[in-house]
Amino acid sequence: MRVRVDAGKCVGAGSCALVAPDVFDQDDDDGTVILLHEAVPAGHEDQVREAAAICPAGVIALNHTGG
Amino acid sequence: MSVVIAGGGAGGLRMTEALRQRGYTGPVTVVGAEAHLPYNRPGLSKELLRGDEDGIWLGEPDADVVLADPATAVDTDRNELLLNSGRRIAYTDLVLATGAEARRLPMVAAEAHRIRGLDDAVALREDLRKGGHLLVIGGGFVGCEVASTARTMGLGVTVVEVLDHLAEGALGPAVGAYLSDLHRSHGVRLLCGRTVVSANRLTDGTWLVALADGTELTADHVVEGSGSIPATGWLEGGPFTLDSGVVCDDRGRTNIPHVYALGDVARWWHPAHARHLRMEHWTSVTDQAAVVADTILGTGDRPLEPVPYFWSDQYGVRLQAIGLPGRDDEVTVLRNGTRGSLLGCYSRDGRLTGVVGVREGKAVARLRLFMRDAPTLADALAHLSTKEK
Repeated sequence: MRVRVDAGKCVGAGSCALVAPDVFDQDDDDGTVILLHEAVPAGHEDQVREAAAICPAGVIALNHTGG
Repeated sequence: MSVVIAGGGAGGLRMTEALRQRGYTGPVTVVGAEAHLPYNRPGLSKELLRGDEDGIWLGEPDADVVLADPATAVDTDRNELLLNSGRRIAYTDLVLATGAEARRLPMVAAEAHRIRGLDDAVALREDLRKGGHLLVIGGGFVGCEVASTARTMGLGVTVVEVLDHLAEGALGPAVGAYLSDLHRSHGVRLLCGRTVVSANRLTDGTWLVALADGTELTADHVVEGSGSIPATGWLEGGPFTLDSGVVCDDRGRTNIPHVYALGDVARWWHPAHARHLRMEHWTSVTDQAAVVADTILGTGDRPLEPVPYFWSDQYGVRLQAIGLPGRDDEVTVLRNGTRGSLLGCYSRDGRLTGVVGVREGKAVARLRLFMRDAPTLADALAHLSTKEK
């Protein structure tokens, strides 16, 4: 599974970093999402799905073609 | 089963998404009063005014979408939503998500701009592109963001605010003073602690605005930012319990079975705060939609995210807020360093109520999770001073 973020539209709520802290971090300044792994590490898929579902700005996109 | 959502904004979209994410493949109908698909309402006072229209769209709900046909009533005996066109849409479950409307003060002429919908913002943008001087009545978040955007576009800007500082009504004087300084440093003329007694457009199209102290101001454009009121007018006289919003329990259920409400129009019971609260935060809709979808479909009983979040972007700086920072709370300002950062910890009776940060994204992030356990102010300060992970 691969994940993409549209950081330009991120509002900095940090919901993703709360549920999937190994995949998402936040900018020290304004809280904008920082994607740590484009390829989701094994075992973190459910967390990343949850992060995409609860992102208030809807800026997290999943791509399953990569497996 | 058929789910109908009255409201074509973020509420309609997020509600549809939450149902689909949970595997519901049955019919969903989204009914919008505006002629537009769901868009990013917070962006109206920023991106859209600047001319970035492409970034404003949120996406199309995976639903039957009815636009430009506002809901006018609910027939709770026949389980039908009535639309302005006369159409009736049958539901098994109905979600009220009609949002809020701009509050209008009677002393401000009707021609003044208000920003609530996309068309309002487009009309203001056309005026701002003519240049000149903008006068903003009301220094809340919308007023602040419009002032910031207009300054960036090169207009002269004056803000008249009845309280002593910008955003003081929401965040109190300490953070309000910080925002006032930010705007002054960008060349905004602030007239705080002043009351508008009349605002009228003259025959030549310019504006004359009179203040209670006798000051008279002229401007090319006027924006009124007087806050918003829940869009419950269409529900008055009906069976729903209304009290500055549609009153709901902690699952978004109204007093009528199979009818729910979320977003700006809804006032949910919040067990953690032991009261009903209307969350006018764009981000809360996503959390509420998940709870309502779980309740409709019986897919779970996870409670609402207890720590709300909101933000405001002004002059390229982001203010972030978590919890329920109150105007009258005690505010402990932790850092106000040379970078121009600010971290305000709000408390009442020693208990942390909210946190507001500017250029303090990491601290806000650390406290958001911590706030779920309703910490004391002392606990929060200690948590912040522990070593970063």
